Amino acid sequence: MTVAPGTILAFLGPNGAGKTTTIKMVAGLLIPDEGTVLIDGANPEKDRSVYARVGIVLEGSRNLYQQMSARDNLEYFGVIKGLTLADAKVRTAELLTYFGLTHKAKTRVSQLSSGMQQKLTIACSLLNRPKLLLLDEPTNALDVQAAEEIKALMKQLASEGLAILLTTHQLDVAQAVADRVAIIRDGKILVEETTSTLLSRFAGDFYKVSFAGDLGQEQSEKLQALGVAVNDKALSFHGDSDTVYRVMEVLRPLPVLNLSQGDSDLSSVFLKLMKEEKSC
Amino acid sequence: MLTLFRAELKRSWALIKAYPVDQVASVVILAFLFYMLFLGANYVAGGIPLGGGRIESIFIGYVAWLLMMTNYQSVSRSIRDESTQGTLMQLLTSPYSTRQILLTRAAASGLSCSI
Repeated sequence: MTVAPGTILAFLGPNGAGKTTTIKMVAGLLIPDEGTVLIDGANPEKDRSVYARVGIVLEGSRNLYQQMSARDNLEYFGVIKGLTLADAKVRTAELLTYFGLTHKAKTRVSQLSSGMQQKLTIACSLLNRPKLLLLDEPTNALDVQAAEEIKALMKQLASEGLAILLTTHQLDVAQAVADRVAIIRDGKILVEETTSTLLSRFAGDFYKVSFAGDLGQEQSEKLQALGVAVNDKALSFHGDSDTVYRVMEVLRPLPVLNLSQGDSDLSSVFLKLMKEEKSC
Repeated sequence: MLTLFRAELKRSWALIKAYPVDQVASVVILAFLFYMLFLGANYVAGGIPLGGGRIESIFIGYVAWLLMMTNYQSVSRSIRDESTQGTLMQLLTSPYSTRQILLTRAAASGLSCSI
């Protein structure tokens, strides 16, 4: 798996597939049993100076000191990332401006909104001007507006030449920002290709159904077993005409409002690949 | 290393300022414990004034004891706190070694507390 400069690679997989483990191996926090991680030609396991070229945002924590101000956090982590105090101050001012957080510089992190905290976390990971940015679920638990801001930010950072390895469960986020997609299951990469190629490969047999009424528990379970993605009053799935009739049978007696064959999305591709792998 | 020490000192001050009541309570409790120890030692010594009865000796003893209490378990407490806060991974991916960071932090927080 390779992440090129200026691109975003979305690294997807079900829970327990090994996404965070992989991120930690790339970051040098875990030693791989097999294989090698090279960042800009150097192995982080053997050469700590590689960390100066890597920015990391890990899932499940804010990666910040909650009782310190935004500015104090950035200056402290600047030094931790290898900058001098003077450089850390300059870089802090730059990043606060870049992320639109200058007016919150003296505010304690605990008093910032989730979106601002996440922006600050990403700002921290950029202090040392990394070449590779590892983002583990960066839009998790954010509201729609904050998630949109983070998505725009990821695209902007990539356009500035940063290589970004992104893991997320939010496949719409991955589809919106990723240049390439790698899907993993049980530590094995099932597919790795550009997002557009992957979507077009699965476009021919993709269906969308909209319906009225509410799905029952049994119906939802049957649809899931067929690899159908359920989103409110709409279904999407990959399959042949036989699959279409089976989905219709499950939906009965709910009224079907529309059935169309259309462009694929990452959620349905992901579900199809997972289903195929399971049946293997 | 001096840069790291200055950054750790700044961080310690920021955290002391964030929890002023905790800090005052901690100093009061430690001063009380020291006083009790002092009285106990004085009693065991048969009432002979310790340190020649000079206030300087008592003060130096107190500061030494305070530093020891502050730094005792400082490193392990630091690791636990960092893990709880979710900041440990950031330290583990620093060009500085984790040992360097934690020992520098212990020294910086010891100095902050003494001041």
